[in-house]
Amino acid sequence: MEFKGLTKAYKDVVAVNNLTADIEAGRITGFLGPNGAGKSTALRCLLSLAAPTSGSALIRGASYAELKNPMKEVGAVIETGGFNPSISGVKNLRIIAASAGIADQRAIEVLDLVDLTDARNKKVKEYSLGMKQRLSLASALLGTPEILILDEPANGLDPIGIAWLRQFLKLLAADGHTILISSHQLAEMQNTVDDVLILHKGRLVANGTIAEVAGNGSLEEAFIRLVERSA
Amino acid sequence: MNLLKSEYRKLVYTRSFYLYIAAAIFLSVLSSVASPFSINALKSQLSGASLLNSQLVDSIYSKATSGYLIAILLGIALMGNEFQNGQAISTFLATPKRIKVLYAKLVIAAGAGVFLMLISTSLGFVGAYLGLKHFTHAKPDSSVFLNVTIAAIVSGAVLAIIGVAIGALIRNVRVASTGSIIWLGVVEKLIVLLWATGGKYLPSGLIVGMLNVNVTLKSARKILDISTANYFGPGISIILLLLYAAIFAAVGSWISLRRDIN
Repeated sequence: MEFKGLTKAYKDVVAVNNLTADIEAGRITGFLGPNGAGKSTALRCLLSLAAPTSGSALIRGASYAELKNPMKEVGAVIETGGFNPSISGVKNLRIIAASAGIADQRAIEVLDLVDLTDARNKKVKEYSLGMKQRLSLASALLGTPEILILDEPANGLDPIGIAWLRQFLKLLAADGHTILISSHQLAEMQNTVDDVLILHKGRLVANGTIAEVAGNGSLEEAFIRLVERSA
Repeated sequence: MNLLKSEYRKLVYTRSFYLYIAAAIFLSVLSSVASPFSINALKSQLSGASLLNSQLVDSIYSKATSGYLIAILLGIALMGNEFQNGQAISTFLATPKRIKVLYAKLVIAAGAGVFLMLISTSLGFVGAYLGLKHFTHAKPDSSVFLNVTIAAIVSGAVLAIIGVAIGALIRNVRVASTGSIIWLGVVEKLIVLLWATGGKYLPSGLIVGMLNVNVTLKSARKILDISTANYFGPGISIILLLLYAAIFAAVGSWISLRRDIN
């Protein structure tokens, strides 16, 4: 995955400013920054949900919209509200699966993967935030993709949920998946990611392995230092 | 086919689809059953308002299409709910080529609109029959059932397509639905009633034109006069309604392609 001079502006506000970075295959990359840094906007451009003002965001050399069967190449979690709340989790997944020509049975399998088997027939509006996050992950896994793009997947999770997510991502990474995960929880990401991209006010302020960026200190300390330097 | 299957599931998995069908049946049956009673009540004020007039009996059977308002609401919900629930994100992640999604949605909306109108119109016919049973009345023209059924099919498909386009434009189901109810149920009806020359070009006027029912009622106060003489015939009405569908589908596509998904 690569960002090539990506800029996204909304009227007078520049949400992402000339972002250029590569995300290496087979690694977990943290896309970090405070709320409003432009992480979600950049991911939306990467997933063809938003059109870049200039530059590009590419996956395997093409835009997401140009991928032949995007769900089988890339799984994405953008937000927990992406489901019809008045129908069950499994029906929501069957709707998504049908659009990509994925068998209904796969919906059951991915719900099992994220420990939602017992709740599969519950309406999504009865799910807790943590369950919705798991359902989002399940939808991302429907097409058995190699690449996962996760926008704030730990949001709203309790400590047990966060520990589960960390373990889950490590299992996926060990399986050879490339994972790009955005978060504003720097301390948590330090335990999860291999590489980091740090965004602040739409600009890239750091890009490298966790050791290169954090040095001997914590990611949080490095982040504050970088932000002060860029300001 | 995959997208059609997905869009079909979105429709039939939700309870609101069945509520829309129930609402359309309610409107059609109520309107058809009530018409003979209201005409009978107005016969002293409107010349020509006699149930012995076969054209008026035809117009009562044409009330069976009254559920068409619900077809537009169905289309709005089909598109608007995508944005209201945030479902649009998973939809466009699964199929980033948005135009394909929109075409599938238009096809499913049109099919659902036709289905809704066929059920509600059929039961509306029964309602009209039961309402008329209370009065001595003329026999309806044999062609009225075919004309009304064609009108139901075309209006169901066209209005559901217009609904999808409105849903793409406004994205808020409540605002879009309320606006459409006010426009179709009040504003258009007033324009059609008071200014037939212009009203005949509006969807409501074209639906009346498709029904091919000739009714002329005159009142002492001219404002209550009703005449369908100035409306287009069924052929032109169908063509113009399909043109409406094409224009709205194009507008919906254009908007869906240009806007970011938030």
